[in-house]
Amino acid sequence: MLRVEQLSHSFHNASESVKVLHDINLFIEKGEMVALLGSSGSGKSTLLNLMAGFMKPSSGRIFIGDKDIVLLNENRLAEYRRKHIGFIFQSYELIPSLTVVENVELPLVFHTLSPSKRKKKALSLLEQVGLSDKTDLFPSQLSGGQQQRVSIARSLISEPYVIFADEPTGNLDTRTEEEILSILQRLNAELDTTFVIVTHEAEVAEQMGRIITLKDGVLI
Amino acid sequence: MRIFDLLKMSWGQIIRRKIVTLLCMIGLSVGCAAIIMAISISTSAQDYSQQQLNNEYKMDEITIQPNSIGGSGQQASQNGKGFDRGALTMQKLDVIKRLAHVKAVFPTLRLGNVEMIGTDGRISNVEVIGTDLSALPEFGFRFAQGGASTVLGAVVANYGATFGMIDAQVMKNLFEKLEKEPYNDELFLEYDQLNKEPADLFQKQVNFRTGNAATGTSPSTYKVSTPLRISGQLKVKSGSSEEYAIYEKTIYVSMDTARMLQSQLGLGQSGSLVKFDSVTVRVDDKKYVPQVEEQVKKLFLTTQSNLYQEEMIKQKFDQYRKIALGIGTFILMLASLSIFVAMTMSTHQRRRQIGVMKILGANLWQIRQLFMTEAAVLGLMGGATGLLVSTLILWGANNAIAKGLLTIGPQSIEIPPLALLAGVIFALITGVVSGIYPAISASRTNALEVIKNG
Repeated sequence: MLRVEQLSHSFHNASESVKVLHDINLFIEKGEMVALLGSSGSGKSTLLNLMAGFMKPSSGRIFIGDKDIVLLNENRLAEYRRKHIGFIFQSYELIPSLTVVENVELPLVFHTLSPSKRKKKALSLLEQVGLSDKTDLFPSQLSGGQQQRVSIARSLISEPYVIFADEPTGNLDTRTEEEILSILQRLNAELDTTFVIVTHEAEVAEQMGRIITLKDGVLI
Repeated sequence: MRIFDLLKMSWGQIIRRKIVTLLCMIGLSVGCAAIIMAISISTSAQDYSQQQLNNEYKMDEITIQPNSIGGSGQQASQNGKGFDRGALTMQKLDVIKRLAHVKAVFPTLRLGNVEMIGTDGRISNVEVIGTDLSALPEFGFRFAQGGASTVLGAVVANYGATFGMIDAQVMKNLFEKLEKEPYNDELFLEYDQLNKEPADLFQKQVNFRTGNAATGTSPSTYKVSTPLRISGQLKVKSGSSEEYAIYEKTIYVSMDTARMLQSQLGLGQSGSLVKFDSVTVRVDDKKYVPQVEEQVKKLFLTTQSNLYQEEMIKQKFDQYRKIALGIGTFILMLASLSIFVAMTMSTHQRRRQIGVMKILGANLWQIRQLFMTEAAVLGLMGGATGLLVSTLILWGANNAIAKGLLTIGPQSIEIPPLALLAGVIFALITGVVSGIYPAISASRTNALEVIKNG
């Protein structure tokens, strides 16, 4: 379902070119929950960004379903992300001027779904993440863990093929971290949605179905 | 994206940044109000000037005169023999009367100057004009007493003709004194006073006299008409001053009476009773003036109307309006700078938010739409405020005019709906145009970069 072939990537500056990923080949099945583990500078975030279509690789191909996203232009990529990819950030990245339910609805605002349908969907997801009583609050009125749950609900609203999460528990305390991870596991089991979670913590990675380890830009 | 969503998100941003919104709106509303007021004041002033023009110049009237160029020549015109193509004849007058949109015609046949003698022997000099007396009221002549009569010998005196009937002997003595002392102010004053002496001529009998008194060996050459009756006295014509009207002494006579006077006194040129000096035509609306003029010219006559005056006024006010609009547009341009700066700042402050939206699937156009809608809403709000401000200012100005505290010509300043529309549209366009660059700039935000670096 998610296939990476011969993926390499280099960062260029004025004097030199630094290769951060070397011929990565990867296959992730639908419904899998994969941890992308590696220390700082291993290239895991770069791999995630490439798979999410935020960057173009120096070489190689990335298939989500049967579509090679490397070949898509910016607008087609935006459309593809909107329909098929969800994203969870380490620092939640909620829009402060929107309420909780509006934040969850946001990806569907860029669709043409009717407001009533998308609100219904958002409320249902908020219930699944245990925030049905916080729908009309603003992000600033929530704790970090609650904000991350809103972020999880938002990533699920467009029913994507795959959800990428970049250090989703990086800003949370241990108890909240466990809560979030258990929510992700439950949603993975219930919705059969693929999760690719970047982490540098082995404890977090161990709770995933599969661990892919990166070291110096190479899969080990 | 749905319009509702765009508006909702824009509104959310606008109310979050109250100070920036306020600054943008001040600039926009001042510009918009300036445009609305410029259009309103210049339109009201133009309407007022046109009204004044209509009163003074009779915009719905055409003066027709004979065409001497290309006719059979002045000679023919003067001696009345031969064919004069450009002459203003009775036949042409009949054709003109029947033209579409012609409401009334006022022919003028200048018979010349005569001495008018009252039954008490007092005399004044008057000009005699043959015309259709029934047309007088149609052309702004108002009767102070009496009216036009179809009876032969019944004549109408204008306002000036009812002044300055002076005893012949008194006049003779005064002229003799003036010949001896031409620079004596007192004599001139006396003469002026006599000229301003009112005379009640209504229903009185008068005679016209031409020729010269007997001098030395030369016998008198006087010719005196049969008695005439003043059937009506006119008021001062609207738009004329009473002071000057006193010196304009005219007696209007019917064409039959004119014919009679011609045979008795030899007034006018031979054959002139069938050729008028001029004809004034009134059309039912000034918009038909060019059409009627065109028709009249086909009769080989020359025409003159006052439409050019209107055109001159229009050009003058168009110029004023352009200047005022220029000022308004300049203010709006300044306002657009404030929106530009505010939106650019907003783009910078919201880079992270834009990045998130892009990651969540917003494409370039959708990001641009968001910012453009925000700018348009700001423009619309500025326009609406400008509309309110200009209405309040003009309401205040109208109150001041009504109380006599302000005099600008028009009695009130009307706001044309077009001005309101123009003001709001200008403000809206200013908003949208000044939002273009920030919108494009926002859409180019590198999502990954801003998420990573903040």
